[in-house]
Amino acid sequence: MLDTDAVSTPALLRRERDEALRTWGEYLNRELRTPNLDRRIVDEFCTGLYDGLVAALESGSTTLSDSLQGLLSALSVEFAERGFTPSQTATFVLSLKHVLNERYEHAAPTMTGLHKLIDAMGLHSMDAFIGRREQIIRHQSQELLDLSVPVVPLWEGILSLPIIGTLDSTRAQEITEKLLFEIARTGSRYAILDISGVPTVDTQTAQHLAKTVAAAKLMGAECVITGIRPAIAQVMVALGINLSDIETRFSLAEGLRYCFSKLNLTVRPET
Amino acid sequence: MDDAGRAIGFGLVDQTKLMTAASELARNIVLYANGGTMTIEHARAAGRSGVRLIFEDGGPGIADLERAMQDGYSTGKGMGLGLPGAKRLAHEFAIASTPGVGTRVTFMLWKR
Repeated sequence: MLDTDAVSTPALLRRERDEALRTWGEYLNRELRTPNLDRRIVDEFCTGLYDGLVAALESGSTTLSDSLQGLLSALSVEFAERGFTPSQTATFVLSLKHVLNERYEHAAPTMTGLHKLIDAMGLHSMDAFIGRREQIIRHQSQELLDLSVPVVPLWEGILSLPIIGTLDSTRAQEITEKLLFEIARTGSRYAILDISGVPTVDTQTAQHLAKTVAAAKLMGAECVITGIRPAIAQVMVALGINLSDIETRFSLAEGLRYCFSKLNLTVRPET
Repeated sequence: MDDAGRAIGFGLVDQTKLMTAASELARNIVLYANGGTMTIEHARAAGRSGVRLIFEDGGPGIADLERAMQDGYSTGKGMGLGLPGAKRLAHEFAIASTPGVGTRVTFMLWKR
């Protein structure tokens, strides 16, 4: 039984530091099940958090210092990036409570301040973890959006846009912007919009396409729409969509052939 | 939607019709009625089998149904082809609307 009445909590924690850290490290090793987490990183975080906690107790502060918050954020970011779960992250911080509770079972009353601080640490690490996750998700959706609007130069003066997936208003806007930018940058006169990867074309999709084509035309570029599948062609006619003033071809290859002919280029086998 | 059509055994064209009509009618509800419900039913009658879609909303309703069903008429920014187009995609189509109460559209596609 440890004599906890004689000394203050911070002084006690300082005296027991090495032993407590060893127990905590063992506990985490046992409970956290994160085999791909370097033991040194765990030790570093443990030491930093423990010392930060003791310092906070000594100063009598009930809020977390900047450096402690920084360390917790770093830990959470590390965990979020490594794909650990929120509960694993929370366990890391909150388990210090278990470790200390086990060691000082009968000194619980003097530990109130300590518990409050550890809870605050746990909450902060959750906020930081979720913040980082959201950042990753935002980043990925932006990447996905960029990927989903590829403008590929096929030939000098000919751009191609393979559109894959649902063409909603946001994407239509992105596609138009990117296409106009690329037309200006490359000075292209032709653009092939291939919609073979678009699952359905309804009136709004058609309207988006028509607007994109009209905007490109204002910049002096002609658009060819390719990849209208047989089923989609039938449905478009039934809906009453009229794209007859837009050049359309069945396949991307046919679209390219059309652009070649407009540019007075011919493709023939080598003799 | 995709699964429903496939479960019934729709061909590619009917499948596309179903998806497109659902997209048109659902958009109407979102744009004009600020949301509503869509019910999807497996309909059976006289040895036939098909899919019935029912769109219900509590929106402002359509004042002039006859005009709303005409090509090119839209109170919004669309092409004005959603409702008449969806009707042309359907085997059976019904629309009922009460201004200030809401609109109910039934879209029915039988398996051929």
